Amino acid sequence: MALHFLLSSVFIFFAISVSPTLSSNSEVNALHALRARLTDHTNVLQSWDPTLVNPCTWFHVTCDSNNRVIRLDLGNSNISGTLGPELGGLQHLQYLELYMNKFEGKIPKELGNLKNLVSMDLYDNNFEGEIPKSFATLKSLKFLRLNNNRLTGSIPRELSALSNLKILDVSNNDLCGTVPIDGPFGSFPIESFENNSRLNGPELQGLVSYDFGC
Amino acid sequence: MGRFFAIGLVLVILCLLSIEKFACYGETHCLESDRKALIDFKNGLHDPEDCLFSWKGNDCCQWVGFWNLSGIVDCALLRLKSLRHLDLSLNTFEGNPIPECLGSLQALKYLNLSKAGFTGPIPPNLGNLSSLQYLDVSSDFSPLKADSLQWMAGLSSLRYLVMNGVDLSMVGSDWVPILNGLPFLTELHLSLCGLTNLIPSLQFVNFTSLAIMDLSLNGFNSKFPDWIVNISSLVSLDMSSSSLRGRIPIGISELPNLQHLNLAMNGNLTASCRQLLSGSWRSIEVLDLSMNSVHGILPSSIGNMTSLVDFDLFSNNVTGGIPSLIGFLCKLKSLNMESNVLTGGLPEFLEGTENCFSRSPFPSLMYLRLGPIPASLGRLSSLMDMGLGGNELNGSFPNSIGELSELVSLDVSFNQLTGIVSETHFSNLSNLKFLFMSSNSLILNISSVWVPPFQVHNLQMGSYQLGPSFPDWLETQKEINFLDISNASISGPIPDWFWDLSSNLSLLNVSFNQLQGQLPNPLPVASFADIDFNSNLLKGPISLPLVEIELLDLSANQFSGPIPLSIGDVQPYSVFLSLSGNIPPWIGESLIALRVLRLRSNGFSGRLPPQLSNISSLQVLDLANNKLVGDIPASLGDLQAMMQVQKVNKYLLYGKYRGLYYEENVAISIKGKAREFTKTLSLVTCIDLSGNNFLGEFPEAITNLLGFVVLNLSRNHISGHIPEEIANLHELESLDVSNNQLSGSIPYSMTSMTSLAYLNLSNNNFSGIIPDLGQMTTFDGSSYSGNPGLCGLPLLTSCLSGALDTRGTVEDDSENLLKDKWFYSSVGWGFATGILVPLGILAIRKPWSDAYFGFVDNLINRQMGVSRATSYRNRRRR
Repeated sequence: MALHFLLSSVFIFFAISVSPTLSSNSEVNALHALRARLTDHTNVLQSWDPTLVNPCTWFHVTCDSNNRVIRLDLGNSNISGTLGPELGGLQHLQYLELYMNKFEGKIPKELGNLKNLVSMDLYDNNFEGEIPKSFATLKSLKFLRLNNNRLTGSIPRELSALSNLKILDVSNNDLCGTVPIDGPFGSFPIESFENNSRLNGPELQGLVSYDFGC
Repeated sequence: MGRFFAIGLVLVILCLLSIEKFACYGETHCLESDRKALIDFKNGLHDPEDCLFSWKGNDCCQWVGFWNLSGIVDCALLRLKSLRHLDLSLNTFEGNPIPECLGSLQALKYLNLSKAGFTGPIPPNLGNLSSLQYLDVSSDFSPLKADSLQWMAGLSSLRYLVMNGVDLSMVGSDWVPILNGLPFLTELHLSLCGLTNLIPSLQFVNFTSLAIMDLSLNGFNSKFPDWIVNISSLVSLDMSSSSLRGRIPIGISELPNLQHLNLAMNGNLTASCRQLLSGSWRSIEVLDLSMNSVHGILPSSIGNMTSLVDFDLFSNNVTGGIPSLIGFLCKLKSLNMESNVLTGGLPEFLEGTENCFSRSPFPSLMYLRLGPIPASLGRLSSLMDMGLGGNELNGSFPNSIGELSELVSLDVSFNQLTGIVSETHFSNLSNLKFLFMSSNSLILNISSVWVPPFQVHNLQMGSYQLGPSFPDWLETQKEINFLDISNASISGPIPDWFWDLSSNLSLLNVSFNQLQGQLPNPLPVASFADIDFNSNLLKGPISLPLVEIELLDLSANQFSGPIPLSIGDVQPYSVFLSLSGNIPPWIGESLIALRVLRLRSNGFSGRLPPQLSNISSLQVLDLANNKLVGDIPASLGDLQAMMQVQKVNKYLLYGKYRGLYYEENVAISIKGKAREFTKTLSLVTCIDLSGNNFLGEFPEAITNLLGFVVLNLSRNHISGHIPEEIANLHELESLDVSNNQLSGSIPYSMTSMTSLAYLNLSNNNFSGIIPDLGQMTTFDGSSYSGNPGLCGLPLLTSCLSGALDTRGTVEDDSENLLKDKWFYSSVGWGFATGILVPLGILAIRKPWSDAYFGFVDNLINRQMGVSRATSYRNRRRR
């Protein structure tokens, strides 16, 4: 009947207009929580519509064929704000590209949950606080670029367990202590560490304490 | 001071529709401070069409305020201290919140922010506007919300409140007491607000002025609130589709001023029909109780409801017969008693008809639904409009209908009527203009020399057995404008006389018959006609009308020859199904408002016409998997809509004003997968030319298209190199040029393409080192495989130092080959038909949009099997 149809169209209308949080997708929720923390100065996140069933048509978000988020590409997007623990919910994330923005605050330790992460580029932001020790669990990580921020504390020795790490850059921060020498640290150039005025060169195991000068 | 400066800012969609000057009271020239504030306000807005052209010079009282603007509402308005009237409705401030500073405009009496594209929470400091009398923040699809209505307590002067469509799902149950504290409230519109709390009782009803209350389309899931029957000032109450249950209080019939009551579609509202309709109903004109659980019999007292115009009890449990006193309802225009358990049809005798002005029964009745077709209908000698379409009527079509000599419109379409219809069924229908009999199981059995007593304008007899030969009696219908005799078992040639009739036809639907022969050239039809010859046995060259048309479907016939060149002069908005051939250049010349051109997976051949670049609104160009050849025209770099970064989302929803919603939905191959874009489609800019036979150099000009999100040129024969300027495409997320003959090095500039998330350069002849910086470090070997000359990470071939361009060997990566398989899986999902989606045109050209919606609806109906009733609605044309 015509009225039946009207009724159902009313429900459709209802669903798309007044129930913006219908989706139960935890990745949508994680990204939406991220969105809520950000100020999007140039409408880069215009397509992040929380009413869509999955975030796979959101710009700057890439999914695999099972509609799981594998990339977040927000480099140089004039975004400010902070990161929250909910980002740790993007279990399948491989590329976290947030470089060249105005992110501030601490790097959440929950990023250590992102077991599939290949690349984490947080460089050229205003992040502060310490490099989370939890990063030592990111066994797939190949690229870790945290340079040009305001990070403090020491470089966690635990990062020497990241055997796949090819590129590490923590230059231009306010790190202190000594630089680990084990594992992949053996192959990183000196430029990766420069301009940290309180960083005291390579670790001299047994001679100088690890967090010397911190 | 003492000067009043009030603004009438009338915002209309198009610049040239309406003009309203600022009203300056008591002054011939405006204050300099006011002028400056307005200039600052203007500067904060985007006004691409220069709608505020009059905002110059010193005398701002002469400025005209109307525009189609977007941008951020500047708080410069704050300086207009005595602003009393602000109307920003119907604008496109997409994504921006309602500026909080509006709460400081203390003198405001009128504030209209409806449908202006604002999103986010409504600032509670609007509650400071104690002088405000009129507040409209209704929104269609931009989600405004409020978590509490506490702030409204401050709007002590408020008379008129419209918040339709605002998300109030988080508001607690206190919204009723808060609004109850507004003594002057006259109109309250809270439709479709997601409200869930409706308190069942209210100690003291303070709504002394409330005349109109619309709480429809909410989800109260509660009993019908008793306090409503104490609002004696109520004139109109709409609580339809609000998940109310329980008894409808009898007291509602005693509201002395109530004219309009709509409680439809609550499902579980109950009442004894006899008790409820025995009340006073002193002023009632419209009573809609459809789709509820009203039970019992219709009382004789229904004869007292003499003001009743529209009475709808559709789909309840009303039993018994229709009382003869219903004859007192002289004003009744619409009576719907369908889907009840009534016994019998209309009464044999109607009482009280002598009181009606014409002394005839139901002198005003235009619309009647009773379920089965009562044989007594033939006695309603004044009936002009019998609308029985879209029901489940079965049985035969009564002979007595033929006696309704006043009948102008007869609609029994979309039922299950059976049997034979003969001349006697139409014997006295000399005034008939609209005849809808489609989709029954009726057989027309008339003599070959029948001359109908009527001259119809609109004849719809689709899915009706009219054949086997073309119906000769149509030749007598000289006034016919709309003709649908589709699927009517007609075979053989179309007679020559038909082409004399057809020049008046706005609808010519003879599809799904077995018509033979050739079409005349040119095709005689009316301007803006819909022409559907789909699925017949027609032959010969394609013929076209000389006038502009809406829709032309010639598919599934036996036509031969090319698409005629003259089609560009005709400028049709036409939809071709299953036609192959060249993509004609007129597409670029005539469909300049096209937003999406998707001809994917067809047999289109030939070159891509350079005129495509004239389509200045084109955002999606998907010609993948055809047989196109030649160079990719450099003019593609002139596609204006793609030059701009699309930063403002606009929902592309159709059919809003017809009660039908169709959400645009286009599948786009992005990042190696087909993704359906719906609500955010307006943000997508895409060129997909993959799977053709394009030759020539990489089209450097397309690096002008700064708004590009998706570029797919894969599986062609493109040579040359990728220019450094590719990095200008900052928005590009998906770049696929795989399986071509591209060579040279990968531009180093690509390291700055920060949005790029999918890169496929595989199976080309690229050489040299892969840039190992920035975004280019985020792709794995599969992006580069099959290029023997490439070296460096992430490939396993390291570069020989000092010999960047020398060819190294790359270890074959079997995993990479698998990655290319997506191409072949993506071929399948493309529609076999090309669909032109002229979104831009549709907004402007109404007849075109109707045609397109009709077409889309038809498609949906065919594909989705939407109920018969839908297609019934769509096909019904007058």
